[in-house]
Parts: sequence; structure tokens; C-alpha cells
Amino acid sequence: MFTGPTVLARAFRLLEDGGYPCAVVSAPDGGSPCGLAVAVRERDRQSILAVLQALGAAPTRAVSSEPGDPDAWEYAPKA
Amino acid sequence: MIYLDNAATANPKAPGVGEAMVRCLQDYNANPGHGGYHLAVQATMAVFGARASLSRLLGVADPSRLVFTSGATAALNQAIRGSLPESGAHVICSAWEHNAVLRPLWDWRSRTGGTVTILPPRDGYPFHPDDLERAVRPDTALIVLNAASNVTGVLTPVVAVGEIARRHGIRFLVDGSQVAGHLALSLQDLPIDLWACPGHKGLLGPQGVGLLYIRPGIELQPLIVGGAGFDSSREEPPDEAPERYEAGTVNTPGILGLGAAAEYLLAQNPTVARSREITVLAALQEGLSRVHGVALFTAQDASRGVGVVSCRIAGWSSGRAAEVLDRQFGICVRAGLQCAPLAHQALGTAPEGTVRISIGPFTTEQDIDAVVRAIARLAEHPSNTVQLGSVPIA
Repeated sequence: MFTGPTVLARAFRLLEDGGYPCAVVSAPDGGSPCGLAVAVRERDRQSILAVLQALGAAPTRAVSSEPGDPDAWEYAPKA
Repeated sequence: MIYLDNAATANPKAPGVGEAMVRCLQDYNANPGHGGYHLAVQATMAVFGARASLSRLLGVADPSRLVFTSGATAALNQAIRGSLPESGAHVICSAWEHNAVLRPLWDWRSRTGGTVTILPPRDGYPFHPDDLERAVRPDTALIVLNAASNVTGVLTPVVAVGEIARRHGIRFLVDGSQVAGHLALSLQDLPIDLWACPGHKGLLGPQGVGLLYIRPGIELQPLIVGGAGFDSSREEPPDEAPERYEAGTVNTPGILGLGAAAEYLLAQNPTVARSREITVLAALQEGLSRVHGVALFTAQDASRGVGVVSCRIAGWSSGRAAEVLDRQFGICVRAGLQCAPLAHQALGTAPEGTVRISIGPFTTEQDIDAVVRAIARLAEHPSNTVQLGSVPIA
């Protein structure tokens, strides 16, 4: 199950306003955006998780691990 | 031209509304929430930005509880039809409701055998709270009241009614059509469950877009189901608001126009704006009250009303008076029943109705002087003594 665009947009704005650039992830059916990919600093992870979960969003899996960018997650809520 | 029909639709709109709509068609012309490419995401974010602005304006912490509709009528239909069972229930409303409330109720009643109690005016009140309390039954499923009458502008004691509704565990829907944009609001702090309003009246946005606030925890049966742009393999509509109630493509230009209007209103001082409305309304009431032959139907104290005054002019039908005000004086007002037939029965002005004059934030003292002078001229010259165009203007 994927999130609707309003929760996604709200999470997107919160993250970007907080200095975390996001990439939008599309649903497997080729439809609308369903999640966000974002690199999160380890020390901020729990607080960001709490905010996203309050919105109805939650991380499902790590999508990349690059040097200097160790905690990139994809947020596909309500999985 | 002097426009005094702001209770029907605001004219002019807020600065920036038209530009926002054009910019939408030029820059965000994709389907919001229905695509992952960059332009669709831009449109999605723009719609969310408008929703967030309106949430700030209306005092709603969670923008997802603010649903975009095609207008107040659609919002009221969603709230009423989505709340009521298909058999055996009871609804309470007042004699002051608009047909956007009454007709969905009559339709529901005829289909289901449900019952509707209409609270009558009493003791100078639009309705008496004691009558409301007495009307409550074990099967009462919904109370629907406007926040202010579109005929008289008189404000409804929403908080007092909401407390009664809460005490009895009854869902409370408010038709905020004449109040949104006029009063500073914090919907989430009011004892209400649902609030419907248009975007094109006091909110100063374009026609074709309205809002339904749904308190967290309140669920409605969606009135329209269809594509949501996500979760397409499910047979059911999405569970989450607002998409559960926004099937299909939303009115993106209208929403962004309304968002621009919300930003304009957020930049105003609501206390100053309301004070100005009261001052202009009081001037209109006072001016008309001095005209011999004019009967007024409006809030006794301007601070207890929004910018609406209804009147009858001796010797004139309301329709004929409005026609002459338009053609000879260039003043646009609304005649007739204003889609509120029971209100006019209560006032004793049915079936002909009244001349309704409704101000907006851009109405000037000169506009008020002009309409008072024009109505004074009409009152001096009963309609059966004049031909159109022959009422002396000066």
C-alpha cells in the first residue's frame, strides 16, 4: 500500500524545509509518486522518523549506501 | 457599477488570484497526484501548498483533513450523504438553511423514510437552544446549521450548539458559506465535526472550488469514487483523507487561485478586517433604517452579523426593485428567495423574497451611500407609478 500525494507532499516539504533534499519515488504500477528517497544523518534519524510516522509515513527500506551518505532511506508509508 | 452581491460570490477577487490561475495553466499544467514526472510533482506540491495555506487560514493543523470539492454544495452533499444511514435516522436543522442543505435532506428523507426536525425562530433568535435540546432523539444522527444566514447575515451560536451536540454524541455539520473569510477561525478548536464552505465568497477565491473540513476521527462514505492516482489495484477508494474524498482530477487552477486568496487573507489583520466589515455593515443598516418605507431583515447589532442585509421596499416587488437598481443605478443586488425558502417563510417575506445587499472587503462608504440614496429614491416612487429608467436619480 502506498501513500496519497497529500501525505507525501507534506513529508516532502517538512524534509526539504529541514535541509533534507528529497527525491520522489514512483509507485511500481507507474502511477503517482508514492514515496521519498532521502539521506538522513544518523543523529537526526529518530526525530525525523517520529515526524514522518505522525504524518502516516514510515521508512520501508534503505535504498542506497554511498560514501558520506550512509543512511538513505526510501519512505513508502503504510507498507 | 457597484457590486453588492458578495454573499453570492465575491467581486472583486483577492489580488493575485487570477495571476495564480494563469500561472498554474502555464507552469503546473499536469495532473497533481497522478504522475511521478517532474511537472506532475510540481503540480502536486503546488496543490499541497494551497491546502497548507488554507489550513493555516482556517485553523486546521493537519492539512489532510481539508478536502477540496467543487464548492460548498458539493461539500455539504458529501458531508450529509456521507454521514446519514440509508434507513431510520433523524436530522435537526433550522429554518435558515440554504437549499444546499435542505435539498440533500429532503432527498435523503424521501429515499429512506428518515425524519428532519426544523428549528423555528423564537423570541427574536434564529432558533432557541432549548428547542434544539428538546428536538434531540435517540436516533438523531446529525445536526446541520449554517454559521450565518445568507438572507439576514445573523450569526448562529455555533459553539453553544456544538456543546449540545457533543453532550449528546451527535455529529455536527456547519455550513460556513457566509462566514469563512469574514471571521477569524480555528476550526479544530470549535466543537464541530464537519465544516463546509465555498472558495469564492468570503475566501475571495475563484468559483468551482470549495472545502470540507473533516475532524480527525470522523469518517464519511465517499460520495464519488474513482481514480486516486495511487493504490490503483485496490477495488475500494483510498482509506486516507483527503484523497478518499477527492476522486478524479482536482480543479488545480481553481485550487491555486484559492491558495493565492488564502495567502492574501493571511497577510491581512483579521481584527482590522472584521472591524471594517462591522463599520460598513452598520453604515448600511443605519442608512437604510432611515429610509421611510423600507423594512430591514438583518442582525440588530452589526457585530452579531456578517455583511448581509435584506430589505423590502414599500410599493416595490423585490425583483422589480433589483432590476431598477441594476439598470438605472448600476447597482448589483440579489432579489428573491436567495435559495432559502424556509427563511423567507420565517420572516414572512415568502414567496416574493427580499432585496439582499451584501458587502465585501472592498465595499466602500461611497458604495453604501449610493445604494442607500438609490433605495430612498425607489421608496419615494412606488413601482406602479414609474417606467423603467424614469426613477429620478438625484
